[in-house]
Amino acid sequence: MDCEEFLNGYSDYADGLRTPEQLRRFERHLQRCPACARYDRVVRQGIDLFRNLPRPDASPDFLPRLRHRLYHIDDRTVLGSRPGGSAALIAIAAVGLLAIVWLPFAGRIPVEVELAPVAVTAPPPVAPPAAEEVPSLFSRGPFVTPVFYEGTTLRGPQVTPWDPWSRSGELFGASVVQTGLAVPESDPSR
Amino acid sequence: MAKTLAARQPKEEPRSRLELKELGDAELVAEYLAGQRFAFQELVGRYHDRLLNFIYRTIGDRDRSEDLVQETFVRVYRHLHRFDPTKKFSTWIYTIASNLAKNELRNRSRNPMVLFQAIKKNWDADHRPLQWEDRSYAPDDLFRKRHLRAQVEKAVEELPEHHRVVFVLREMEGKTYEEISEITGVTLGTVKSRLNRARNKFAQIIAPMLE
Ligand SMILES: [Zn+2]
Repeated sequence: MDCEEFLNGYSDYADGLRTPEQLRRFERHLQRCPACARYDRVVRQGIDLFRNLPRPDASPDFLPRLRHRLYHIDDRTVLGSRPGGSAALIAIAAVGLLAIVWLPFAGRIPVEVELAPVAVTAPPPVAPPAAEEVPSLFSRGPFVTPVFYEGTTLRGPQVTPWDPWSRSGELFGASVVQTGLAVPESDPSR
Repeated sequence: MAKTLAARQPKEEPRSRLELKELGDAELVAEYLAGQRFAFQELVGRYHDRLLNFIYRTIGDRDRSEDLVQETFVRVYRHLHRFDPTKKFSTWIYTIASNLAKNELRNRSRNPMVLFQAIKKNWDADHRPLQWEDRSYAPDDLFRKRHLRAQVEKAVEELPEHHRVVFVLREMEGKTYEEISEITGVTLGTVKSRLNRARNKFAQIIAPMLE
């Protein structure tokens, strides 16, 4: 056996994938060839070091995040299969709620904004998403409690629609005080 | 989808976590589909660290690896009813993880910003004054071990992507050639030649540090 043959068949030799007679030929070459003996030593030592590299630990929020994502798959399955349930409507409600939750923290610079009235029409019910899912861009974002519309009423666990003119109120059972956001001194509609 | 969910409704008494621990992967899948919801949790517990390590060693970005492990479990969860129980569950889940890691590397290679960040990260790592910190606080052999570990990590990162995946699956995860062939979707012959080349290249990089 020459060095080229040894190196080409090295993986088979190292993993014991040759016949006993062939393995003995590799052994014999190793005993008389310092270059290949060095190669064998380096691979074994290097791999040993590689196997003992510290393994990364999952971050503490790994399991809660995963549970949350799986929960939403089940949730979508339930709502998607229920007559009148609409994934699109839920998505709109979730985005709306997200906006409401973030509103009090939106910025510290007072800005007066007048928004034009928006008319929203509920889209027709759509089929649940196809089997493949695009990885969530929001996986590290704030968790949004799922809500849905029943007729024209927003339903969901402990959800009270937020009144943008109120300075304080309750969201998900917690007291929330709105600060640093400019709102008209008086509600023009009142 | 509705069918999948119906299959997940409990049909019998819930099993204790201890009982579930005794089961093989394929049995856990069956139990989960029969409504034992902790069975999936047990699968997550068995695989999340291994997959994190595998993806991390393949793509080299810890946070992104964690996202990809999450994505692996999400896909497994959604397609569990399609799992073929005559196949090995571990091969199936590693195939999903490996494809996600490959896509990640492919997308990165197309993104010049990411490429720049990778180069910068390597530069930062190379220029970190590790020696000085270490030499003052730790005995020499501890310093040497840490230095070697860093060099080994770097050597693996330098392997071409398709060689690295095979190398990590074999050397770190202890997969057989047949399993690697299934996971990566290449022939046994290709697995062998890639592994041989990966070991060869790895040895070339690491040799000056070991002798
Ligand atoms: Zn030789």
